[in-house]
Amino acid sequence: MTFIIPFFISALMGMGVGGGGLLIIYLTLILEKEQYIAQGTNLFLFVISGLGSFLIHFKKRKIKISLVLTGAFFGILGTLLSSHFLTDIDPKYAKICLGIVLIISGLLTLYNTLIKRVAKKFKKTLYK
Amino acid sequence: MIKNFLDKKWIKISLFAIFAFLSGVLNGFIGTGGGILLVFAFSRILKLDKKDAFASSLCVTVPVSAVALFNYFKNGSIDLSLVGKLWFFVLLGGIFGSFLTDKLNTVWLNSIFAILVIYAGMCLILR
Repeated sequence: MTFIIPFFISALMGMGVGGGGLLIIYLTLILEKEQYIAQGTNLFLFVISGLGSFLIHFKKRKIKISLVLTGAFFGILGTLLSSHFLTDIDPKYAKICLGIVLIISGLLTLYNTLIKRVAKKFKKTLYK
Repeated sequence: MIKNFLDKKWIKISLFAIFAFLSGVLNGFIGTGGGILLVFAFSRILKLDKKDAFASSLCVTVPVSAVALFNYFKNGSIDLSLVGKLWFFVLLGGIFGSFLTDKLNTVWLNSIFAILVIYAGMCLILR
């Protein structure tokens, strides 16, 4: 079970369903890891999983290198800034922040996948 | 008028840079979540196709996460024994999932994931 769940979570990540959020849920709520340890372990496993799917997506999709480099540059700046202040913040607040981000992410995903489609179909039937 | 302003190339790139910066902040602070902002930036601001947006976001998030990892290493906030046990299955899963991207309809998967993630978010806040 310890190996199957991460395999499937990583497969979902490779498909574009969810992201590191699923793995961090597994680490915090199921394996009951302490918050910052779960975050660090999640990042490590996400990088490994990402490296696996990165090359395949890179070959299949139209990727603009200039945009990726720009994004990576500013992303790394942001990471360096937040990591600098990380140790000063109570893990309780990181947990709450993660919870809020997960809820927003879930609501947006639900809206974009299910609710929009249902509304579209309802509109179509209404105007028939 | 606002739409014309937002269609200017330098505005799009600047907005994208801000979103990329914020995604880095999120990744550094909570270890996840940056991808959501990047997918939004690639698809809504830069108008990339959804799958191209996801792939581009992955290309950005992996190196950004690798940099965030250093700080967690420094603070000893990584369970290396767990990583040692799981890395191979996670790597396989990532490769397997990326092969399945075009072959599966992910609408229902996305919806189930969304409900799971909302529930998990509530658990994290309330526990």
